[in-house]
Amino acid sequence: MARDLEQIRADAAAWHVRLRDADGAEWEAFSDWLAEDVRHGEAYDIVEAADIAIEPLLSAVSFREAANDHGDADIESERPAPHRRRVVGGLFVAASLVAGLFAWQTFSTDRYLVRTAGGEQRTIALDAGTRIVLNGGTTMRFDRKDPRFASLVEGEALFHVRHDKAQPFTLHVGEDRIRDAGTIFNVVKTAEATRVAVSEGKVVYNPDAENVSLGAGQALVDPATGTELRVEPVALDTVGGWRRGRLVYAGAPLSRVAADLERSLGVAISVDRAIAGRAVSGSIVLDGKGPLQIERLEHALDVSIIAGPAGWTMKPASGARR
Amino acid sequence: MTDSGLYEAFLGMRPALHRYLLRRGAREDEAEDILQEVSLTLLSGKTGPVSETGGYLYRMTTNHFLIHRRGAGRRVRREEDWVGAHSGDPPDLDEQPSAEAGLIAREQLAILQSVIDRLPERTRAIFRRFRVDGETRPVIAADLGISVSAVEKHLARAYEAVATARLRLDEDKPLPRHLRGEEGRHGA
Repeated sequence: MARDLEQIRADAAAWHVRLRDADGAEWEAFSDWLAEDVRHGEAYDIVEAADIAIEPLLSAVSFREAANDHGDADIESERPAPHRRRVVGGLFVAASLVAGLFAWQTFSTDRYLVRTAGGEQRTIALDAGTRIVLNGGTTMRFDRKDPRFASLVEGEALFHVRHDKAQPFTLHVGEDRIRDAGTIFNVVKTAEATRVAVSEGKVVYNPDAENVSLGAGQALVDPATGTELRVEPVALDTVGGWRRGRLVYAGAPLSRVAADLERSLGVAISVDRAIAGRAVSGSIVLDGKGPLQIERLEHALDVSIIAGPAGWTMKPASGARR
Repeated sequence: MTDSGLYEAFLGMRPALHRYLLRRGAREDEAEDILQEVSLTLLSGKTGPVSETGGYLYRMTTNHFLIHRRGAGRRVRREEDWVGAHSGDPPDLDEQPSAEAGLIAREQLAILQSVIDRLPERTRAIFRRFRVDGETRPVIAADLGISVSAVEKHLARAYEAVATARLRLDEDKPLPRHLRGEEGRHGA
């Protein structure tokens, strides 16, 4: 029945939407749905294939928008009004068919945002030799036409950058600029500070201002308040350790450790003010957010963690432990 | 989840994942190959911290399944080209887009653009945030002040429209199920 098929198509699309961040139980339910009727799998294949097929086209599609578009005004002001062309939408497509590739290149929205949820990691390849891994809770902006541009709006990311002297890769962090010289480096931006750590090669911090060169094994801290830049040593194998579920600290304040854990685990964590500034040294291995992980963190950080519906709270360890 | 923990979880879920692959239309031997690839990936330790093991393993299995199927599609098309043999162009050589490829791409783009243009305004905006900006359903829902299930309805409608458009799926076109053989589909 045609009616039936329509429903199946709608269900297939709904499954595809939910599966993007589904948990094991949802996938299990999806699997059962497939088993109910052969047509379910056929319908799903079509949705999935269409979604894959549009990937290379999306960057050139213009999305006409309502006036109340969510705009990141501070980010989009980096380049004057790149979105004006959106309004004409379909007309531009017709024009581009005639005008050829050049028109196609110009009517796309050049910059786009990538956001990761807490606990999620995503890798973005800008070109064959340049890869950026976004940690959880991170927002970055890229430019479809300029693979040598990236902007870290918030959070943390690890950069593997192909060096090109003629066209150096430049990372924007607010007003600050980080220029690579053939590198692997990690950058964290929080409300308190920006931290850059280099594990291979060299980067230059604010080449047009302070012009600080950082080599492998060096980290730079640029506090949001005050102007003093600090350069400190960092162990090479710990740079971007979050990718492997390992966080290493040498005297970092507990508040920073909590912020890192938030990104990696996707849990909101608040720290009792009495211990927020306490120095943490050592390494933490992450493998989820279950009770065992909590217990391990309590031991490693010498705190007691209360897991509530709104997240975790770190308090001074109760007398019973240690 | 440490890598070994993830691998153990994989072993526990292996029968379910195998069943899933058969239901997706994989043959018995393909399902085995795919799960073998997944286990190798897990053992190579190139996995980050994982917040939800089940979803992660299903996703990874699905990705390997798609890679596998794309490979199979290429092989079939190559054989078709061989039989046809009237074109001087070597098959599977699309790194340098020819003028023809450019035309096809523009045609595809025009089709997709018209699908997007015809979506209701809100559906279009939500689809862009989900598919282009990579935002999650809860984030979009909270931002717009609507329920997550309402966001899902908008998205499902958008995907339905995209899926029924006459887009040429090309390299990523799944093989028709009947070409993939029916043996081993007892999972269904």
